[in-house]
Parts: sequence; structure tokens; C-alpha cells
Amino acid sequence: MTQKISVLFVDDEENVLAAIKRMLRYKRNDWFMEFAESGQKALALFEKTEFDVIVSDIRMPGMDGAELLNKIKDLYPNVIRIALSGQVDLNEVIRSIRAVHQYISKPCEADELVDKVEGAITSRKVLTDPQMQSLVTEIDALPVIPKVFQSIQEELRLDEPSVDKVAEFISMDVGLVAKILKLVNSPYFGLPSYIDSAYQAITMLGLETIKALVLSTHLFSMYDEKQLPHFSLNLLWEHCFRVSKIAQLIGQCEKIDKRVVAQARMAGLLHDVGKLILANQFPKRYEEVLKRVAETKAPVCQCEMEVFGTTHAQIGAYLMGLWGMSSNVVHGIGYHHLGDIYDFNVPTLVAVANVIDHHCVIIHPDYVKIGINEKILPQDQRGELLEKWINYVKDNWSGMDEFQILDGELLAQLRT
Amino acid sequence: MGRLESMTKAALIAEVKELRATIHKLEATSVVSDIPIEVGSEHLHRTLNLLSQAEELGKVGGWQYETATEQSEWTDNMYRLCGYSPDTPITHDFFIEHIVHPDDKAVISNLFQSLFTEKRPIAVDFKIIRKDGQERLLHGKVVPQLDKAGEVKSVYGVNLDITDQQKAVAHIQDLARFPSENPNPVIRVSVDGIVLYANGAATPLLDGLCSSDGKALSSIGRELLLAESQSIEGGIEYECENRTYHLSVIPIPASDYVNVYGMDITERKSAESELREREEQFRMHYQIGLVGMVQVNLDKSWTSFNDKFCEIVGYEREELETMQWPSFTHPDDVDENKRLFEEILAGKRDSYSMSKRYVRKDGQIVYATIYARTIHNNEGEPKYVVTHIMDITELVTAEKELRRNLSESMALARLYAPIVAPKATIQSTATVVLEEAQKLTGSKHGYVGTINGNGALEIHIFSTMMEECAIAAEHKKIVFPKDEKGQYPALWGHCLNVRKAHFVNKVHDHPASKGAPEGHVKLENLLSVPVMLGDQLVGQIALANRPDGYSEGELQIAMRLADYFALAVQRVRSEEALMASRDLMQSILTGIGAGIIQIDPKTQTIERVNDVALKMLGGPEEAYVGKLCDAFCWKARDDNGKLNCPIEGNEVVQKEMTLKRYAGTNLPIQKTVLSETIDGKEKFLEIIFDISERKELERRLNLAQKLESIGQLSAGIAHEINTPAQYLGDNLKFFSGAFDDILNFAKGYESICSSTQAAHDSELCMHVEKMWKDTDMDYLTEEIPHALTQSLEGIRRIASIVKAMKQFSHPGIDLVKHADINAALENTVTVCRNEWKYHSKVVFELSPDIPLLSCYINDLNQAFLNIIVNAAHAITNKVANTGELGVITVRTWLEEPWIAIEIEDTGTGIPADILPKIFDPFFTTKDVGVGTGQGLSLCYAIIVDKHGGTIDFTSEPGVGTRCSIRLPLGTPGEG
Repeated sequence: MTQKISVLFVDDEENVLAAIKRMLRYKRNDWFMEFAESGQKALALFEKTEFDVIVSDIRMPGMDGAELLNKIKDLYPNVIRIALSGQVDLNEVIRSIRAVHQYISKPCEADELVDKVEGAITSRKVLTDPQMQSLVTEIDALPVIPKVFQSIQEELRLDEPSVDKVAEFISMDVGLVAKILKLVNSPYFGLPSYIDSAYQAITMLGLETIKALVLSTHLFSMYDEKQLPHFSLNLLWEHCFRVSKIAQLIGQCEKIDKRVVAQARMAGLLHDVGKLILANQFPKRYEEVLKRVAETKAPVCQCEMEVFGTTHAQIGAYLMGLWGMSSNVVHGIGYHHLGDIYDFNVPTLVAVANVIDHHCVIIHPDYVKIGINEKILPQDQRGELLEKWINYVKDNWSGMDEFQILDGELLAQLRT
Repeated sequence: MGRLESMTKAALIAEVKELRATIHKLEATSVVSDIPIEVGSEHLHRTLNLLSQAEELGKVGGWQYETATEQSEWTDNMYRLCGYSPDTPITHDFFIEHIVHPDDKAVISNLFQSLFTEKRPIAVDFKIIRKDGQERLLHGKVVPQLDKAGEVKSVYGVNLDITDQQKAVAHIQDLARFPSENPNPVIRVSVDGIVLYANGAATPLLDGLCSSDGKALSSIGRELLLAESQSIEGGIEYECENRTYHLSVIPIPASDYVNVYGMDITERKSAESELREREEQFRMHYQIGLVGMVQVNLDKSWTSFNDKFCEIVGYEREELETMQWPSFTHPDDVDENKRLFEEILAGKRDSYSMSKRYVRKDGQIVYATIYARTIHNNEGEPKYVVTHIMDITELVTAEKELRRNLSESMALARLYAPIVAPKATIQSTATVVLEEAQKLTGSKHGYVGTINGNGALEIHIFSTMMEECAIAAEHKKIVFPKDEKGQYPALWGHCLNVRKAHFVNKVHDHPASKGAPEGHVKLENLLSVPVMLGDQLVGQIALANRPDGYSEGELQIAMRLADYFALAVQRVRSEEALMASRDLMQSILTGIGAGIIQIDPKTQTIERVNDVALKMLGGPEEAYVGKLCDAFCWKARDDNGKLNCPIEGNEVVQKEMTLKRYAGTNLPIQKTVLSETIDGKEKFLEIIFDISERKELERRLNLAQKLESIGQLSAGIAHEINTPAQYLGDNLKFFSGAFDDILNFAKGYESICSSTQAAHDSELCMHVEKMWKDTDMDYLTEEIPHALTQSLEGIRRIASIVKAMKQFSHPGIDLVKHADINAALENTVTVCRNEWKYHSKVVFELSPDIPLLSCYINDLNQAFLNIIVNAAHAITNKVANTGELGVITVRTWLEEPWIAIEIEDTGTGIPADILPKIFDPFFTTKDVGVGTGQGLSLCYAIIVDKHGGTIDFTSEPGVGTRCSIRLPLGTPGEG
């Protein structure tokens, strides 16, 4: 690392700033740090200096953190925005959530703060293109499928909305789920970070919160399906859900640590988020990718690399990293095509689940059936393992009817 | 005539009265079925009998002459008078020619003729020659009978034989010469009024006629005997000493005195007056025409009939002449009449009498008693039949009315019972009403119904009107609703629509008639009465098929029954309403859970405890009744447990108290004491309401409010605490790094000084070492890192407590959310750390496998808190001041489909006798002020009622208590 990370801390309590300054003194060689006691001062500093990261309190007199971060987001979209607050209420969450990449609760341990800042910076490493970096950093929410969003709104406007139904609808859209997961991590809820499923995250937030979020019109943008007719977001999300489920089932089958399974599940769900970003931001160029895939039968990642110089895996990992997903999840997203260690860690599970889903459910006729990276499964056991897992998935997934039984040909194909 | 007629009517009415009395007697025994006819014929017989007796006694003969037919008819006595056999046919001409004395023939004939011109009654004395040649003198009276045109249509006559009377007069004259022998009074009086002679029999007369000396006539006597009428032919009547004398004053030619011949005619007088009476009766029947008379030939054709008969049967004479009697005899009586007539023809009998009915031209029924008698010719063969017909319709009607009145009275008497009977229902009353109505009106069919709440007619009882039982079984309610227009359809509904009783004798002609449904009996006639209560229509009595059709009489009966039925309905309904309101009151009292305890003010004993109160008390009735009123151990907050018996003048209104239940637990109640007069005695009524639920809710609400404010407070202070905690932590972190640096720096000096002996011995180093020791640097280097670590730990604890508080009482609407039970338990233990930390340690054995639970986490936190605090207190009680530490173990594990939670303590344990009561609200073992007694009952409500889980306590006194909780996976309230 040749360049120091430049971080701006904002807090109306000078003691906090001074303490942080002292506490991070040991980082003085790696970080360039500035401190501001108000939003105005922070903005003034931004005019002079370029910051990579801003860490701001939310409750401040005058311009509060939500306002400041929103301004920073508009003026300097490439900056990583972290909120550090002792207490926020729902209103503050809603006002700040578009602008805030991550929330950290006060009091936080020094190491945690450092980890978060450095983690966010590190996730940038996967995205080398600075343009692409700033584009992703700017993203405040993932576009959602309009129909799904409409159903949720309709349900919420009922006199007695069903939390189950709302959860079910939200679960149909990975963009929404990602948003919800981000919320769950905010200090307002103070929920345990160990969350089993998106569905539970939703029910934990409760209807009130969901209602406040969904019915605040500015929080979500709609995905325009017309701009890329050959790309179906619905099908993509269905694939993601299956991968998530398959990853979970494999984890269960292998009796892996539950926490890892949960992370794999999350990573499986989010592993193709990058595709949405690319398709939404660059529909023309992504059409080119799809064309190449159809023509050359090359893997999607390879075509993306050719067109964008990056892959959906990298972009997804970066954004989710920004949004505070745990590093395991981010790793699982970023390496779901590149996994090369047989260690039953998150990337392995996601990678295998992805392959299995691609083989057993045909999403797109043009997609090439990706093979398994040789290193990820030991050569001599590969066929055996795959067969075991596929059968396990089949036996334990009652609601799954698109899942095809592997025939000999398919299995042979997988073995090679 | 008018006077006579009215007299007759009066007599008849008197007769009827007498008859009624008889009937009444008969009716009371109620055996004879068809009395009126029988009685009527008896009456006729008696009348006829009286007439013939009168005729005989007064030597009166009667006759009748019909102008149209020139037929004469004689009474038996007339025949006897003339010395002819009653069988002999006598014409008027025969009478004039052969019976009237030749001397009087012309006179009589002329007189008879003059009747038709003069049209006035006449009287005449004439001689007849009897069949046996005897000459008799008759006094005759003749009355012409005029028709509507004023023409004489018939003549009635009576003849009295006065031959004997004339003879008597002659006899007196004969006796005149021998006054002393004369048994009758004989007196000779001079024209001066001096009594010249008087025989013995005349003595009583002289007393009245003479002055006091007895020799000269008094002025009255002079007037009587010597006035201008000395030549009286007929004589004078003189009454004296209750006897009547006939005095004939005979002037003796060429003398100055007169002879007076007296005769005692007292007996004759009375006979004469009796005759006059009979004569009237005779007239009554013959002249006024109360009796119809018919003469019928053997072929049933008429010989003659009188006007009365026409009147009775209601046909004009001309019409009747072309008819025969069977054609207007009531069909039911024809056969019997014919049979009797045939018997006469066959000579089996000479006469018969029967009661029969005629059907008048206008359709009305006439009741009559007839007496028919055969008239034989000289050869003794039946010649024709004479029939007397007496119209007894009025009598029958009167009698029927009487009977009706009587039956009506009896019916009403029978109705009385159902109306006043305490258990009477509309159904039972309707049954009696219909029965009586059918009986009284002679209706074959009928029904009785009431108008129900929807305005529809609900039939309570009906006679079988369906031939095929088309209307369902008896127990099925029959309801006739109104039509779309709000009218009662068809003929049955007519009276309900117009609210007026009516009857129809030709059902099919009525405009409202819609015909009967299939299977319904054919309706001939119908009588229908609305049952009204004031203006309100309450029901209907309908009757049908009376054999003779309906008349005003049946209508009246039905209406009276309707009135009674209305009263009955009103009574039953108001009774029902009363019962209903009583029931309502009872169910309201039970419904609102009002316990009632009745207490005698004098003895202060409990007399009655109602079921609701018993339920509250949880004990048997006998545990309280008869006991003193303090048996409940009333306690109010403000009276320090004084016993509370009701005291006069001490008003208790909605006072909140507790009472001791049978099982010994307390029950909060609200009490009001009323002073009431019950059965004439003053009693206290304690009205109590169980307010435990309300109390519990109140307390729970308080608790919720407390939590809410804690939630808000903790959210508010979180920021205030977290911010300094942040910089405290950061500073400590800095300081810990900085101290390491300082220590390194200090240790740098030390290492320099200890590097060589020379350095060590240098003055500088000596100084450093001294300072090191003075500063007690060894201790600082040892302790400062600990101090810092511990301070950081303190910050962490502050942070965790703030977080736990926030989560424990997270503000927000009470909604089902997914929650981590393990985290919740940890939070709770953290929050109540103060309660347990001095005497216990908490051991967690939490399973990481348990999934998030859909639940009301705030409530569960509250429940966990209560249980953990109880556990902490149990341990405190046991180990206080011993320095020992108890253990609270909190366990969780998954036990599909439950999450199992166990909170175990090593405290005092719960005594076995208390264990069953621990979930009772208001039960507490803690000292006043420490516990509300709400704790475990609240836990029960949260875990069992709200989440569908279970909670159980097992305990061993002295060893500890274990609370086992099972919470079902899945959303609360969804099975």
C-alpha cells in the first residue's frame, strides 16, 4: 500500500474525537486522519482534502449526520460513508440509510472500528477500475423488481398486513433482501449479527419498520426490464435462491459449523448481485456480454471480463463489503467462480452450489455449463461427492420441482 | 186486537220463562238432547187441552168458516152442542137449513151475510134444533177475519148454550106467587119505599137495601128498585156480602107495590167470567192465528190451510196450493214425517205429534210442533187429516239462545282456568278455546292462532282439516305469513285485514276466497273472528262447516271467546314477559358476574349465597349459610383487616376489598351493600364482583407502562452513556498503548543502567533507581495494565447493560417478532444483575441450535425476569449472611416442536402446600411491599395464554426449585 488511507471523523463531542485521535495514534503511519466537530467543518475539510472514508456521528446539533452523509454522497460519491452512533431512531435510519454504507454502534471497540474501515477499503481491492469503484460506491440501493415491490406495497396498505406475506414477497427480490440485511446491521435494531435467513431478518425487523421503509418512496429504485429484454431478473433471483438453498443443504450434509452455513447461504443468495448492477448501469454493454456468451459459449465471467474488465462477482463483493456484510460473505461472493481450495469454506459451498444449480436447472439455454475448478474438489472423490450432495439436496428439498435428477451423462460431464 | 196480541206475547214470554227454568234444570243435568221440540209439543198439547176443557165447561162450541172454500169446521164441543157426532161433516148451509130453528133461520142467515158487508163482530141469541129434536137457545158471537185487502177471508164463531139460563128466569117467575117457599129472596116494596114483605132468604138483601129501621128502603134501594126502571126485563145484578144476586123487579099491575125476586147467581157469574177467559184463549189460537191449521187429503194434497200456516212456512197462499208438504219440510225430517203419515193412512194410528222443521221460502229454518189427527167419514174410514201447527221457532231460538248462553257461560268458566292458571300457555288456552268454540257453534272445523312477532299468523291448534294429513305432524308449527303487500291472503285472512268478525255461508262466493289447497276439506261455510287487544291484532279464531250455516248468534259467541282469548293471550304474554324479564334479570346478574350474599341484619348471619358468589368463593353453600357474616374475612386496604359486616347507616358502595376464598387464597372484589326488604323483612344484600381480572390487568398495565418508560428512557440515555463510553474506551485503549510506550521508555533507562556495572553504579543510575523505587514502578508496571484492562471491561459492561436494557424494553408496538431466546435470557440476566450478584452466580447452558422464535419478546423478557428474580430471592433467603454463593442455571435446548427453557436455582424451594397456589394472582409469600403477587401469574399468562406454551415448577424445600418452560415453535396465536 503506497498511499495512506485518508479518514475523516466527525462528532459533536470533542472528547470522542480526541479519544479516537489518541486511540488511532498507532495508525498514524497508515492512515491520514482529520477530525471535525460539525457537519459544516467536515464539508469545509472535504473542499481541501480528498478522503477515502468518512466516519460520522448521526446525532449532532445543526447539520446532523444523516444530512452530512447525504451531502457527501452527492458531492463525493466515491467516499466510503460510515455512521458511528450511540443511538439512532427509525426516522434517522430511514433518512440516512441511502447515504450510509455501514453503521457502527457506539461504544465500539477500537479494533472493530479499524477493521470496518480497513475492511471497506480492502474490498476495493477486488475492483481495480477506479471508475467502476466510484460507480459502485455511489450505489445506494439495488433496483427492485417493480411487480414485487408493488405487491409488497399493496400488502402493507391492508388493514392487517401479513408479515409472512410481506417477507415472502421481499424474499423474491435479492435487491430488497440486501437492503434489509443492511438495515439489520444498523445500531437501531441492535440485533444479533447471526441471522439465519433473510426471512427471519424481515420478521425480526417487524412490520412497522418494513412499512416505514417500503412506503418511504425515495428509498428504492425500480428495475426497468425493458432496457435489457434478454435478461430476466426474476430468473436470476430464482437461481440465487436455489444456490443459497443448495449451499445450505450441502453445509448440512457435511455437518459444517452453522455459522459458516448461514454465511454460505447469504453469499449464495447474493452471489449474482453484481450482474444486476452491471445490467442496470450498463444495459448496452451487458447485452454485449450476453451476446458473447451466446455466440462463444464462453463462461459469463470471462465475457464480463472482456467487456468490463471486471466480473459481476467482483462488483457484488465490493458492494456487499461496503454495505457491511461479513468478510466471509464478501469472500464467498467474490470467489464463487474462483474458489480453488477444498476447505468447505463459504466460497467453496457457493461455488459448488452454483455449479450444481447450473447443471440441474437450466436458467438460460445460452449459458455454458461451468465446470468445477479442479482444485476445489479432490479429483478422486469429485463424482462421488457431487452425487451425494445432489441426492441430498433432492431428498431434503420438498418444494423443489425444477430440480432434475442427474443422468449419467451429466454426472460424467461433472466428473471431468 | 193489538192489546190482545201483546197480552198473548206477554203470556208466551211468561211461558217461555217457565220453560227456560225447566230447561235450565234439565240442562244442568245435561242429558236430554233435543229438548226444545219435545217441550214445544207438550206446550201445544197443553194449550189444546185447555181449550177443550174451556169449551166443555162453558158449553161453548167453536167453529170456523173459510170464505174461499166455504168450508166450515167445528170444534168437538160445537158438535156436542148441536147433538151431532164430531165425525159428521157439517157445512154452513146444512147448519142453517137443519140446525137453526125455523123461527130464527132468516135472522141468522141475514146476520151471517151482513158479516161480509159490516165486517164487524156480532152477537145474537137464536134457537136451534138438535139432532135429537131438542130445542136449545144459543148465544152466539161471530168475528170476521179480514185479509190484507180488507175482505173477510174467514169467520170464527163461538156459541154458548143459554137454554138453561132462560129456563131459570122462567122458573123464578113461576116461584113468585109462593114467596115463603122460595129459597131465593122475595121482597115486596110499596111505591113509597116501604118494605111490605120479605121472605127469609131476602134478609141479607134488606140489610143492604134498607135504612136502619129495616122497614123502609134506603135511598140506594129506592134508586135501585123504584126508579123508572120498574119494569126491567133483564133484571139487575146486586152484590151483597160477597155474593151476587140477580134481582128481577116485577111491577104488579094495578097496585102500588112491586115484587122483587132475587136469585143467587154467584156461581154462574164465575162460570161466565171463566168462559170469557177461555174465549180469549180460544181467540188467541183461532182468531189471532197463532196456530197454523192444515187439512190434508190422503194424497197429501191440501183441503185447506189457514193464513198462519202460510205465514209459518213463508209462502204465499197461491204458491202453497201448488205444493205438497214434503217439499218444504226440512230434508232431515221428511222421512220421519212421512212414516207417521203413512201409519195414519194405514190406519195404524189416529193421530200423531212430532217436532219438525220447515224450510221457508227464504231458506230460514222454522221449528214447529205439529199435531195431526185423522177425520173419519160416517163409515169410519179416514177421510182427511187435520193438522195443527205451532211455530215454536221463537221458543226454540230462545231456548237455543239460553242454551248457548249457558254453554257459553260454562265455556267461559272452563276458559277461566286456563286464563288464570299459572302454568297456562297460549297453546293450552288456544286448545280450550278451539274446543269450546267448536262445541258452542257446532262447527266441524276450526283453528286458533296468534299473531307472532313478524305479523304472521301462527296456528296453535287446529282440527284436522287435511284429509290426507297433508299438513305435517302436530308438533310442527304452522305459520301463515302476510303476503308481499302486508296483507293476510285468502278468505282466512279477510277478518284479520279488516279487523272485523264475519261469517260466510257460501264460501266460494266470497271475493276473498282463493279456494282451499289440495287435500283440504271442502269449506261450506266459515266464521272468522280477529282476536283483538284494544287496537292490537293478536290472533284469530276461525271456524268452519257448521251444518246449518252461521248466524249472528255464532258470531257473537266466537267474538266473546275471542275477547276471552285476547285476555288469555295478554295474560300469558305478560306472564311470559314477566318471566322473561325475571330470567333476563337473573341472566344479567349471572352474566355480569354479580355475586349476591343475603345477610340478616339482626343475627348477622348469612342466609343466602347465590351461585355466582359461591363460584367466587370456591366453597360449598353449607360452608357459608348460617355462618356469621365475617366468614369471608373481608379486607379493605384502608381498614387494616377489620371485619366488615354490613352495618345500618354505614354505606358501602363499590368498595374494593379482598375476601378469603374457601381454599384460603385472596380474591379482590368490589362490594356494594344494599338494604332491601325481602318478603317483608329487612335484609342486607352484599353485591360482590370479582375484580381480580381487572386488578391483574391494571397491574399488568402498570408494568407495561413501567417497561415502556424504561424503554424510552434507556433509548434516551443510551446516546448519553454511549458517547462518553466511546471516548472512555478509546482513551483507555490509547492509554494502554501509551503506557506500554512509557513503560518501554522507562525500561529503556533501566536496561541502560543495568547494562554495565559502571553504569549501574553511576550517580545518574543510582538516582534513576531511587526514583524507580520511590515511584514504586514495579507495582505500577504490574498494576496499570490490570487497571486498564479492568477499566475496558467496565466500559464493555456499561455498553452491554445499556444494550440489554434497550433490548429488554425495546419500545414499539406489541407485535410478534422473531427473537433469539438465548440472547433474551442473557439480556435479562444482565438487566437484573443487581438482584443476584451478591448471593449467586449465573451459569448459562444455552444450546446454539435453537432457532429464532416468533414471539412477543418483550413479554417473554418480563416472564424470564420474574422467574430469575424469584430464583435470586430464593437463594438470597437461603444463603444470606453465610457468604456462600448459590447457583442459578439457565438452560435452553431444542425439543421439537418446542424450545425448552429451564431456570434452576439452589434456593429455599417452595413448600408443597404452596406449590399449587403459585400461579394464583394475588398470592404472594413475600412480605408486604416486596411482591405484588403478580409475578408468577403474569408468567403463566404470558407463557401459557399468550404463547401457547407450558410452565411448571418442581421444587424440593431446602434444595432448590426448577422452572421448566416450553415455548412452541411457530407463530403465537396460529395454533
